[in-house]
Amino acid sequence: MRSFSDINPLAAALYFFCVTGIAMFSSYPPVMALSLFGGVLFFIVRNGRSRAKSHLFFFILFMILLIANPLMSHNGVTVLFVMNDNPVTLEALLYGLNSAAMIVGVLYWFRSFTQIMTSDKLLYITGSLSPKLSLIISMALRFVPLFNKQSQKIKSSQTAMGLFKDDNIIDDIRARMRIFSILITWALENGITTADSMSARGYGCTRRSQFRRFRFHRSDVIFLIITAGLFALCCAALSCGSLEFTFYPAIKYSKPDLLGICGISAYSVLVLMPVIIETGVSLKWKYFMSKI
Amino acid sequence: MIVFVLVTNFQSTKDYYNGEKIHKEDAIGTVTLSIRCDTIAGKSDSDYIPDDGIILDETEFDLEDGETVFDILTEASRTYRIQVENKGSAGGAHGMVYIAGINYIYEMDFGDLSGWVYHVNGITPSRGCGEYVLEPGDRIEWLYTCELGHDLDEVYEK
Repeated sequence: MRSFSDINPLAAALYFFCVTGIAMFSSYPPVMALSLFGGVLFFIVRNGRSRAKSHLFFFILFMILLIANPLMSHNGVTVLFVMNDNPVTLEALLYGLNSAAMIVGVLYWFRSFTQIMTSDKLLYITGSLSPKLSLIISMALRFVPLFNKQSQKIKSSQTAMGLFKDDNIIDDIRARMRIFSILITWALENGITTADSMSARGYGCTRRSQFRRFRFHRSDVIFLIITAGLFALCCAALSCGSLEFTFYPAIKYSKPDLLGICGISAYSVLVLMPVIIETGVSLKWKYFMSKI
Repeated sequence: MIVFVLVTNFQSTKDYYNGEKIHKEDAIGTVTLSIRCDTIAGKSDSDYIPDDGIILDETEFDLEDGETVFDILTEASRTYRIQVENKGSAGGAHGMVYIAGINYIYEMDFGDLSGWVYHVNGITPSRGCGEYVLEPGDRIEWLYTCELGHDLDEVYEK
Protein backbone atom coordinates (compact mmCIF):
# COMPACT_ATOMS: atom_id res chain seq x y z
CA MET A 1 0.00 0.00 0.00
CA ARG A 2 1.38 3.38 -0.89
CA SER A 3 0.99 6.49 1.22
CA PHE A 4 -1.48 9.09 0.01
CA SER A 5 1.30 11.57 -0.80
CA ASP A 6 2.91 9.02 -3.16
CA ILE A 7 -0.22 8.30 -5.12
CA ASN A 8 -0.08 9.22 -8.79
CA PRO A 9 -0.81 12.96 -9.04
CA LEU A 10 -3.59 12.53 -11.56
CA ALA A 11 -5.45 10.24 -9.18
CA ALA A 12 -4.90 12.62 -6.27
CA ALA A 13 -6.11 15.64 -8.27
CA LEU A 14 -9.23 13.77 -9.40
CA TYR A 15 -9.95 12.73 -5.84
CA PHE A 16 -9.71 16.32 -4.58
CA PHE A 17 -12.01 17.62 -7.29
CA CYS A 18 -14.58 14.93 -6.51
CA VAL A 19 -14.62 15.75 -2.79
CA THR A 20 -14.76 19.52 -3.17
CA GLY A 21 -17.16 19.32 -6.11
CA ILE A 22 -19.77 17.46 -4.11
CA ALA A 23 -19.32 19.82 -1.16
CA MET A 24 -19.72 22.90 -3.33
CA PHE A 25 -22.72 21.77 -5.35
CA SER A 26 -24.93 20.55 -2.56
CA SER A 27 -26.58 22.37 0.30
CA TYR A 28 -27.26 19.45 2.59
CA PRO A 29 -25.92 20.15 6.11
CA PRO A 30 -24.64 16.61 6.90
CA VAL A 31 -22.60 16.70 3.66
CA MET A 32 -21.08 20.05 4.65
CA ALA A 33 -20.32 18.79 8.13
CA LEU A 34 -18.68 15.66 6.71
CA SER A 35 -16.50 17.60 4.31
CA LEU A 36 -15.40 19.98 7.08
CA PHE A 37 -14.69 17.06 9.42
CA GLY A 38 -12.76 15.13 6.76
CA GLY A 39 -10.77 18.19 5.72
CA VAL A 40 -9.75 19.11 9.25
CA LEU A 41 -8.93 15.51 10.14
CA PHE A 42 -6.77 15.01 7.07
CA PHE A 43 -4.95 18.29 7.71
CA ILE A 44 -4.25 17.30 11.32
CA VAL A 45 -3.14 13.78 10.36
CA ARG A 46 -0.64 15.23 7.89
CA ASN A 47 0.60 18.12 10.01
CA GLY A 48 0.23 17.09 13.62
CA ARG A 49 0.59 19.87 16.13
CA SER A 50 2.27 22.43 13.91
CA ARG A 51 0.32 25.01 11.90
CA ALA A 52 -1.86 26.07 14.81
CA LYS A 53 -1.98 29.56 13.26
CA SER A 54 -3.84 28.33 10.21
CA HIS A 55 -6.42 26.68 12.45
CA LEU A 56 -6.92 30.00 14.20
CA PHE A 57 -7.27 31.81 10.88
CA PHE A 58 -9.85 29.33 9.60
CA PHE A 59 -11.78 29.54 12.84
CA ILE A 60 -11.96 33.34 12.65
CA LEU A 61 -13.04 33.11 9.01
CA PHE A 62 -15.75 30.64 10.01
CA MET A 63 -17.07 32.99 12.67
CA ILE A 64 -17.08 35.96 10.32
CA LEU A 65 -18.99 34.07 7.65
CA LEU A 66 -21.40 32.73 10.23
CA ILE A 67 -22.28 36.15 11.60
CA ALA A 68 -22.29 37.99 8.27
CA ASN A 69 -25.18 36.07 6.75
CA PRO A 70 -27.96 36.95 9.23
CA LEU A 71 -26.89 40.56 9.03
CA MET A 72 -27.19 40.59 5.23
CA SER A 73 -30.16 38.38 4.52
CA HIS A 74 -33.44 38.87 6.35
CA ASN A 75 -35.47 36.04 4.90
CA GLY A 76 -36.93 33.48 7.26
CA VAL A 77 -39.90 32.92 9.52
CA THR A 78 -38.37 32.67 13.00
CA VAL A 79 -37.38 36.19 13.96
CA LEU A 80 -34.82 36.49 16.75
CA PHE A 81 -34.73 40.27 16.97
CA VAL A 82 -35.20 43.25 14.70
CA MET A 83 -32.32 45.43 13.67
CA ASN A 84 -32.94 48.73 11.87
CA ASP A 85 -36.40 47.57 10.74
CA ASN A 86 -34.91 44.35 9.33
CA PRO A 87 -35.64 41.03 11.02
CA VAL A 88 -32.62 38.90 11.97
CA THR A 89 -33.86 35.35 11.63
CA LEU A 90 -32.86 31.91 12.75
CA GLU A 91 -33.03 30.55 9.19
CA ALA A 92 -30.47 33.10 8.04
CA LEU A 93 -28.19 32.10 10.91
CA LEU A 94 -28.45 28.40 10.03
CA TYR A 95 -27.84 29.14 6.37
CA GLY A 96 -24.77 31.12 7.41
CA LEU A 97 -23.59 28.15 9.46
CA ASN A 98 -24.05 25.84 6.48
CA SER A 99 -22.20 28.02 4.00
CA ALA A 100 -19.43 28.82 6.49
CA ALA A 101 -18.90 25.08 7.05
CA MET A 102 -18.77 24.53 3.30
CA ILE A 103 -16.29 27.33 2.61
CA VAL A 104 -13.95 26.50 5.49
CA GLY A 105 -14.11 22.77 4.69
CA VAL A 106 -13.21 23.34 1.05
CA LEU A 107 -10.39 25.68 2.14
CA TYR A 108 -8.96 22.97 4.40
CA TRP A 109 -9.08 20.49 1.51
CA PHE A 110 -7.29 22.93 -0.78
CA ARG A 111 -4.64 23.52 1.90
CA SER A 112 -3.89 19.82 2.06
CA PHE A 113 -3.98 19.70 -1.73
CA THR A 114 -1.27 22.35 -2.08
CA GLN A 115 0.84 20.52 0.48
CA ILE A 116 0.62 17.24 -1.44
CA MET A 117 0.84 18.68 -4.95
CA THR A 118 4.41 19.91 -5.14
CA SER A 119 5.56 21.66 -8.28
CA ASP A 120 6.99 18.53 -9.86
CA LYS A 121 3.65 16.76 -9.54
CA LEU A 122 1.85 19.73 -11.05
CA LEU A 123 4.34 19.68 -13.90
CA TYR A 124 3.66 15.99 -14.39
CA ILE A 125 -0.07 16.71 -14.70
CA THR A 126 0.43 19.56 -17.17
CA GLY A 127 3.03 17.48 -18.96
CA SER A 128 0.57 14.70 -19.63
CA LEU A 129 -1.73 17.34 -21.08
CA SER A 130 0.90 19.16 -23.18
CA PRO A 131 4.71 18.91 -22.88
CA LYS A 132 5.27 22.38 -24.32
CA LEU A 133 2.99 23.96 -21.73
CA SER A 134 4.78 22.15 -18.94
CA LEU A 135 8.18 23.31 -20.22
CA ILE A 136 7.01 26.93 -20.33
CA ILE A 137 5.52 26.75 -16.84
CA SER A 138 8.66 25.24 -15.35
CA MET A 139 10.82 27.90 -17.01
CA ALA A 140 8.54 30.69 -15.80
CA LEU A 141 8.57 29.33 -12.26
CA ARG A 142 12.36 29.40 -12.23
CA PHE A 143 12.51 33.13 -12.97
CA VAL A 144 11.33 34.48 -9.63
CA PRO A 145 14.15 33.20 -7.41
CA LEU A 146 16.65 33.76 -10.24
CA PHE A 147 15.79 37.43 -10.53
CA ASN A 148 15.90 37.82 -6.77
CA LYS A 149 19.43 36.44 -6.62
CA GLN A 150 20.57 38.48 -9.58
CA SER A 151 19.23 41.73 -8.13
CA GLN A 152 21.09 40.98 -4.88
CA LYS A 153 24.28 40.49 -6.89
CA ILE A 154 23.76 43.72 -8.81
CA LYS A 155 23.02 45.64 -5.62
CA SER A 156 26.15 44.45 -3.81
CA SER A 157 28.43 45.09 -6.75
CA GLN A 158 26.98 48.55 -7.38
CA THR A 159 27.32 49.40 -3.68
CA ALA A 160 30.97 48.43 -3.86
CA MET A 161 31.31 50.74 -6.85
CA GLY A 162 29.87 53.67 -4.94
CA LEU A 163 26.06 53.59 -5.14
CA PHE A 164 23.84 54.61 -2.18
CA LYS A 165 26.45 57.21 -1.23
CA ASP A 166 24.25 59.90 0.29
CA ASP A 167 21.60 59.33 2.86
CA ASN A 168 18.63 61.16 1.37
CA ILE A 169 15.53 59.75 -0.29
CA ILE A 170 16.27 61.09 -3.79
CA ASP A 171 19.56 59.24 -3.93
CA ASP A 172 17.88 56.10 -2.65
CA ILE A 173 15.25 56.20 -5.38
CA ARG A 174 17.80 56.96 -8.05
CA ALA A 175 19.93 54.03 -6.93
CA ARG A 176 16.97 51.64 -6.99
CA MET A 177 15.99 52.77 -10.48
CA ARG A 178 19.51 52.10 -11.64
CA ILE A 179 19.55 48.59 -10.20
CA PHE A 180 16.13 47.92 -11.74
CA SER A 181 17.20 49.02 -15.20
CA ILE A 182 20.35 46.89 -14.97
CA LEU A 183 18.23 43.90 -13.94
CA ILE A 184 15.82 44.34 -16.85
CA THR A 185 18.64 44.63 -19.36
CA TRP A 186 20.29 41.53 -17.97
CA ALA A 187 16.98 39.60 -17.96
CA LEU A 188 16.24 40.36 -21.58
CA GLU A 189 19.74 39.42 -22.67
CA ASN A 190 19.57 36.27 -20.56
CA GLY A 191 16.34 35.32 -22.34
CA ILE A 192 17.94 35.72 -25.75
CA THR A 193 21.04 33.68 -24.85
CA THR A 194 18.83 30.95 -23.31
CA ALA A 195 16.79 30.75 -26.50
CA ASP A 196 19.96 30.57 -28.64
CA SER A 197 21.48 27.82 -26.51
CA MET A 198 18.25 25.84 -26.50
CA SER A 199 17.99 25.93 -30.28
CA ALA A 200 21.68 24.96 -30.51
CA ARG A 201 20.89 21.86 -28.46
CA GLY A 202 18.08 20.85 -30.76
CA TYR A 203 14.94 21.96 -28.93
CA GLY A 204 12.02 22.46 -31.24
CA CYS A 205 13.30 20.24 -34.04
CA THR A 206 10.92 17.35 -33.48
CA ARG A 207 7.79 16.85 -31.45
CA ARG A 208 8.52 17.11 -27.76
CA SER A 209 8.28 14.04 -25.55
CA GLN A 210 7.95 14.06 -21.80
CA PHE A 211 9.67 11.92 -19.22
CA ARG A 212 6.89 10.32 -17.18
CA ARG A 213 8.16 10.47 -13.66
CA PHE A 214 5.16 8.81 -12.04
CA ARG A 215 3.83 5.52 -13.18
CA PHE A 216 0.42 4.06 -12.61
CA HIS A 217 0.54 1.31 -10.04
CA ARG A 218 -2.17 -1.19 -9.30
CA SER A 219 -3.01 0.56 -6.01
CA ASP A 220 -3.57 3.81 -7.93
CA VAL A 221 -6.05 2.11 -10.23
CA ILE A 222 -7.92 0.58 -7.30
CA PHE A 223 -8.01 3.99 -5.57
CA LEU A 224 -9.38 5.63 -8.71
CA ILE A 225 -12.06 3.00 -9.14
CA ILE A 226 -13.21 3.34 -5.54
CA THR A 227 -13.23 7.13 -5.80
CA ALA A 228 -15.21 7.07 -9.02
CA GLY A 229 -17.74 4.62 -7.62
CA LEU A 230 -18.38 6.59 -4.42
CA PHE A 231 -18.53 9.85 -6.38
CA ALA A 232 -21.10 8.39 -8.77
CA LEU A 233 -23.20 7.23 -5.83
CA CYS A 234 -23.12 10.66 -4.19
CA CYS A 235 -23.97 12.37 -7.48
CA ALA A 236 -26.90 10.01 -7.99
CA ALA A 237 -28.20 10.77 -4.51
CA LEU A 238 -27.84 14.52 -5.10
CA SER A 239 -29.42 14.63 -8.53
CA CYS A 240 -32.37 12.44 -7.59
CA GLY A 241 -33.34 15.00 -4.99
CA SER A 242 -32.94 12.77 -1.96
CA LEU A 243 -30.60 15.27 -0.33
CA GLU A 244 -32.63 18.45 -0.57
CA PHE A 245 -32.66 21.09 2.09
CA THR A 246 -34.28 24.49 1.71
CA PHE A 247 -33.70 27.19 4.30
CA TYR A 248 -35.94 30.06 3.20
CA PRO A 249 -38.57 31.01 4.24
CA ALA A 250 -38.96 28.01 6.52
CA ILE A 251 -36.61 25.08 6.96
CA LYS A 252 -37.87 22.20 4.91
CA TYR A 253 -36.23 18.85 4.41
CA SER A 254 -37.42 15.37 3.69
CA LYS A 255 -36.24 12.35 5.56
CA PRO A 256 -33.53 10.79 3.40
CA ASP A 257 -34.63 7.62 1.68
CA LEU A 258 -32.39 4.64 0.91
CA LEU A 259 -30.60 6.44 -1.91
CA GLY A 260 -30.01 9.44 0.34
CA ILE A 261 -28.56 7.32 3.12
CA CYS A 262 -26.34 5.53 0.59
CA GLY A 263 -25.19 8.89 -0.72
CA ILE A 264 -24.30 10.22 2.73
CA SER A 265 -22.43 7.08 3.75
CA ALA A 266 -20.62 6.99 0.39
CA TYR A 267 -19.50 10.58 0.92
CA SER A 268 -18.33 9.85 4.46
CA VAL A 269 -16.21 6.95 3.20
CA LEU A 270 -14.90 9.23 0.42
CA VAL A 271 -13.71 11.95 2.79
CA LEU A 272 -12.19 9.46 5.22
CA MET A 273 -10.24 7.52 2.57
CA PRO A 274 -6.97 9.49 2.77
CA VAL A 275 -6.98 9.27 6.55
CA ILE A 276 -7.54 5.51 6.37
CA ILE A 277 -4.72 5.11 3.83
CA GLU A 278 -2.29 7.22 5.86
CA THR A 279 -3.02 5.43 9.13
CA GLY A 280 -2.76 2.05 7.42
CA VAL A 281 0.62 2.95 5.97
CA SER A 282 1.98 4.29 9.27
CA LEU A 283 0.78 1.18 11.12
CA LYS A 284 2.54 -0.99 8.56
CA TRP A 285 5.71 1.05 8.97
CA LYS A 286 5.63 0.78 12.77
CA TYR A 287 5.06 -2.96 12.46
CA PHE A 288 8.08 -3.36 10.21
CA MET A 289 10.22 -1.18 12.47
CA SER A 290 9.25 -3.21 15.51
CA LYS A 291 10.55 -6.32 13.77
CA ILE A 292 14.06 -4.96 13.55
CA MET B 1 -17.97 47.66 17.06
CA ILE B 2 -19.32 49.88 19.81
CA VAL B 3 -20.20 52.52 17.26
CA PHE B 4 -22.10 49.88 15.30
CA VAL B 5 -24.10 48.86 18.36
CA LEU B 6 -24.90 52.44 19.20
CA VAL B 7 -25.83 53.43 15.67
CA THR B 8 -28.17 50.58 14.79
CA ASN B 9 -31.55 50.27 16.29
CA PHE B 10 -32.19 46.92 17.95
CA GLN B 11 -35.66 45.89 18.95
CA SER B 12 -37.04 42.63 20.21
CA THR B 13 -39.59 40.75 18.15
CA LYS B 14 -42.43 41.34 20.56
CA ASP B 15 -41.74 45.05 20.60
CA TYR B 16 -41.57 45.39 16.87
CA TYR B 17 -44.38 43.20 15.60
CA ASN B 18 -46.70 44.25 18.36
CA GLY B 19 -49.87 44.16 16.32
CA GLU B 20 -51.12 47.37 17.86
CA LYS B 21 -52.28 50.12 15.67
CA ILE B 22 -50.10 53.12 16.21
CA HIS B 23 -52.07 56.19 17.19
CA LYS B 24 -50.49 59.46 16.26
CA GLU B 25 -51.48 62.58 18.10
CA ASP B 26 -50.58 65.15 15.48
CA ALA B 27 -52.06 63.35 12.48
CA ILE B 28 -52.86 65.63 9.58
CA GLY B 29 -54.98 63.06 7.75
CA THR B 30 -55.10 59.47 6.59
CA VAL B 31 -53.66 57.45 3.72
CA THR B 32 -54.53 53.97 2.50
CA LEU B 33 -52.09 51.19 1.75
CA SER B 34 -52.60 47.92 -0.08
CA ILE B 35 -50.09 45.19 -0.94
CA ARG B 36 -50.99 42.93 -3.81
CA CYS B 37 -49.27 40.25 -5.84
CA ASP B 38 -51.83 39.54 -8.56
CA THR B 39 -49.21 38.98 -11.23
CA ILE B 40 -47.91 35.86 -9.50
CA ALA B 41 -51.05 34.56 -7.76
CA GLY B 42 -51.34 30.89 -8.56
CA LYS B 43 -47.95 30.65 -10.25
CA SER B 44 -46.13 28.86 -7.47
CA ASP B 45 -47.44 26.69 -4.68
CA SER B 46 -45.60 28.56 -1.98
CA ASP B 47 -47.49 29.04 1.27
CA TYR B 48 -46.84 32.74 1.21
CA ILE B 49 -48.52 33.69 -2.04
CA PRO B 50 -52.24 34.12 -1.36
CA ASP B 51 -54.60 32.76 -4.00
CA ASP B 52 -56.40 36.02 -4.50
CA GLY B 53 -53.17 37.94 -4.63
CA ILE B 54 -54.00 40.22 -1.72
CA ILE B 55 -51.38 40.34 1.02
CA LEU B 56 -52.86 43.43 2.64
CA ASP B 57 -56.20 44.83 1.62
CA GLU B 58 -56.74 48.59 1.48
CA THR B 59 -56.13 49.78 5.04
CA GLU B 60 -56.16 53.25 6.45
CA PHE B 61 -53.23 54.67 8.34
CA ASP B 62 -52.84 57.96 10.14
CA LEU B 63 -50.43 60.32 8.49
CA GLU B 64 -48.07 62.67 10.24
CA ASP B 65 -46.40 65.56 8.54
CA GLY B 66 -43.39 64.55 6.45
CA GLU B 67 -43.99 60.81 6.53
CA THR B 68 -42.88 58.84 3.53
CA VAL B 69 -44.16 55.71 1.80
CA PHE B 70 -41.48 53.69 3.60
CA ASP B 71 -42.73 54.87 7.01
CA ILE B 72 -46.27 53.70 6.23
CA LEU B 73 -44.97 50.36 4.93
CA THR B 74 -42.98 49.67 8.09
CA GLU B 75 -45.99 50.68 10.16
CA ALA B 76 -48.08 48.16 8.23
CA SER B 77 -45.46 45.44 8.69
CA ARG B 78 -45.41 46.05 12.43
CA THR B 79 -49.15 46.18 12.88
CA TYR B 80 -50.12 43.33 10.58
CA ARG B 81 -47.00 41.16 11.01
CA ILE B 82 -45.89 41.20 7.40
CA GLN B 83 -42.22 40.49 6.72
CA VAL B 84 -40.50 43.31 4.87
CA GLU B 85 -36.86 43.30 3.87
CA ASN B 86 -35.28 46.60 2.97
CA LYS B 87 -31.83 47.27 1.71
CA GLY B 88 -30.83 50.81 2.28
CA SER B 89 -28.57 53.24 3.99
CA ALA B 90 -28.79 53.62 7.72
CA GLY B 91 -30.93 56.68 7.25
CA GLY B 92 -33.93 54.52 6.48
CA ALA B 93 -36.79 56.85 5.79
CA HIS B 94 -35.83 60.06 3.97
CA GLY B 95 -32.88 58.22 2.47
CA MET B 96 -32.11 55.60 -0.12
CA VAL B 97 -34.28 52.61 0.69
CA TYR B 98 -34.99 49.66 -1.58
CA ILE B 99 -37.69 47.14 -0.72
CA ALA B 100 -36.28 43.76 -1.67
CA GLY B 101 -39.04 41.55 -0.38
CA ILE B 102 -42.50 41.60 1.21
CA ASN B 103 -44.04 38.53 2.83
CA TYR B 104 -41.15 36.29 1.74
CA ILE B 105 -41.69 37.13 -1.91
CA TYR B 106 -38.40 38.52 -3.07
CA GLU B 107 -37.15 40.33 -6.10
CA MET B 108 -35.86 38.05 -8.91
CA ASP B 109 -37.89 35.11 -7.54
CA PHE B 110 -39.93 35.02 -10.74
CA GLY B 111 -37.39 35.99 -13.32
CA ASP B 112 -34.70 38.62 -13.67
CA LEU B 113 -37.21 41.42 -14.16
CA SER B 114 -39.37 40.71 -11.12
CA GLY B 115 -39.64 42.78 -7.99
CA TRP B 116 -41.76 45.19 -5.98
CA VAL B 117 -42.91 48.59 -7.23
CA TYR B 118 -45.27 51.09 -5.66
CA HIS B 119 -47.93 53.39 -7.08
CA VAL B 120 -49.38 56.43 -5.39
CA ASN B 121 -52.85 57.49 -6.61
CA GLY B 122 -52.33 55.36 -9.71
CA ILE B 123 -49.10 57.13 -10.69
CA THR B 124 -45.69 55.45 -10.73
CA PRO B 125 -43.30 57.76 -8.91
CA SER B 126 -39.76 57.84 -10.10
CA ARG B 127 -38.32 58.18 -6.62
CA GLY B 128 -37.41 55.72 -3.94
CA CYS B 129 -40.02 54.93 -1.32
CA GLY B 130 -37.96 56.68 1.33
CA GLU B 131 -38.08 59.96 -0.56
CA TYR B 132 -41.75 60.25 -1.52
CA VAL B 133 -43.45 62.45 1.09
CA LEU B 134 -47.18 61.77 1.36
CA GLU B 135 -50.20 64.07 1.36
CA PRO B 136 -53.44 63.26 3.23
CA GLY B 137 -55.82 61.16 1.15
CA ASP B 138 -53.10 59.44 -0.93
CA ARG B 139 -53.66 55.87 -1.98
CA ILE B 140 -50.51 53.70 -1.92
CA GLU B 141 -50.33 50.36 -3.68
CA TRP B 142 -47.39 47.98 -3.49
CA LEU B 143 -47.48 45.66 -6.48
CA TYR B 144 -45.30 42.73 -7.53
CA THR B 145 -44.19 42.91 -11.12
CA CYS B 146 -42.63 40.28 -13.33
CA GLU B 147 -41.48 42.66 -16.04
CA LEU B 148 -39.88 45.70 -14.41
CA GLY B 149 -43.29 47.29 -13.90
CA HIS B 150 -44.47 47.16 -17.50
CA ASP B 151 -47.07 44.49 -16.81
CA LEU B 152 -48.96 46.81 -14.44
CA ASP B 153 -50.82 49.89 -15.70
CA GLU B 154 -48.18 52.52 -15.43
CA VAL B 155 -48.78 56.25 -15.54
CA TYR B 156 -45.53 58.06 -15.08
CA GLU B 157 -45.06 61.10 -12.91
CA LYS B 158 -44.69 64.36 -14.78
